[in-house]
Amino acid sequence: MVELDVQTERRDCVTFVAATVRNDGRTGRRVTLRTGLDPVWPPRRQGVPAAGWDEDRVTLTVAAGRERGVGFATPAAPNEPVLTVVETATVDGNASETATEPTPEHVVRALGDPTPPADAVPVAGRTEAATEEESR
Amino acid sequence: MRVAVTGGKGGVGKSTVAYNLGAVADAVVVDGDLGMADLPGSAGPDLHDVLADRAEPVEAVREGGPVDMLPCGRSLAGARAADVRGLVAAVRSVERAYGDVVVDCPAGLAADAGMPLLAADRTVLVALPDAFALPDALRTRALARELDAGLAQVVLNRTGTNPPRAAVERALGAPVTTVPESDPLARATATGQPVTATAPDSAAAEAFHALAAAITPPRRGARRTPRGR
Repeated sequence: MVELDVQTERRDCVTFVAATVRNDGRTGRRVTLRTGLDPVWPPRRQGVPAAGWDEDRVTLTVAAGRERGVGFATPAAPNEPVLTVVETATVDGNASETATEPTPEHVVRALGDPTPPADAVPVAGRTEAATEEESR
Repeated sequence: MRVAVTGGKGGVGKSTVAYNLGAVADAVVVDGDLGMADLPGSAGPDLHDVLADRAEPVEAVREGGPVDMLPCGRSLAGARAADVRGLVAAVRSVERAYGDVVVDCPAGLAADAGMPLLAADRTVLVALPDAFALPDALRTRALARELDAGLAQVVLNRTGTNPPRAAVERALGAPVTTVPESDPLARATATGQPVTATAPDSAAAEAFHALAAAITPPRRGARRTPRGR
């Protein structure tokens, strides 16, 4: 049996959602939660949504007798159902979230976003102006 | 076959190995070095455009040169606009259209170096014999295994008279091909040609033939010939 405990806090026009998922069963469970709030600002790692997040859904594995936390933010007011359990499935004791096939998002999360920072990219107009000033 | 040519360190000759391997294996060479492309380029859409969704992967492939290439742009703005996550799909569509693909990886172990390993089904690791960076090599090997692109072959590049082949084989647990220090290879690289075209009988050209044979699985029914050492 999976128990979901959700708390919300609204501050500066942003709703912060914090939830714990408790698994009282005897086997590990993979739990998928869905939020009715839109848009969702999921936690990010290296610029991409953290593992398990897919638009308005998040999937996490909770070991038997344990609980796990999950959270996100949204500018929407917490009127809709904030989080609901849409699916649970038992998993083997040794299965974990990393047992899924690696995706390009996994690689970016694990190794870091390789794009050069905006400050490193010369802006055409600004560079010309700077050169003009130097030549004076 | 999708081969990632990687090495962890910069300046070990990854691009040279990728280019010449592509020539021997009749593969498309993808210049995956998004930040610092160094394979021969030309006008037209490039990998930056493909990864920014401005061009299809197949229309960015240049045919007609000594080696079929998917070159990479050289501007920082282009590198910033490119989303490296698209590389996996791009490499697959080039493979569907052309057959074998060789991806030249950038140095380091950020996502731009990891993504070719996810796109590839096997890895060739390039190292220098005198500055053999074992921690880099081991980290790259671990990542390649994690991403299902197991280490197929190690290339010891620019070897002298007595390359530490056995030591490297022991350390990395993969067979080693040595590419000797070679004037014909240096001249070919300087002019943007594969050494197999400019000096087909050179030791370097033979080494690339041996490398291609070693990483290509034998065709069904064909007898596996022992690798030349």
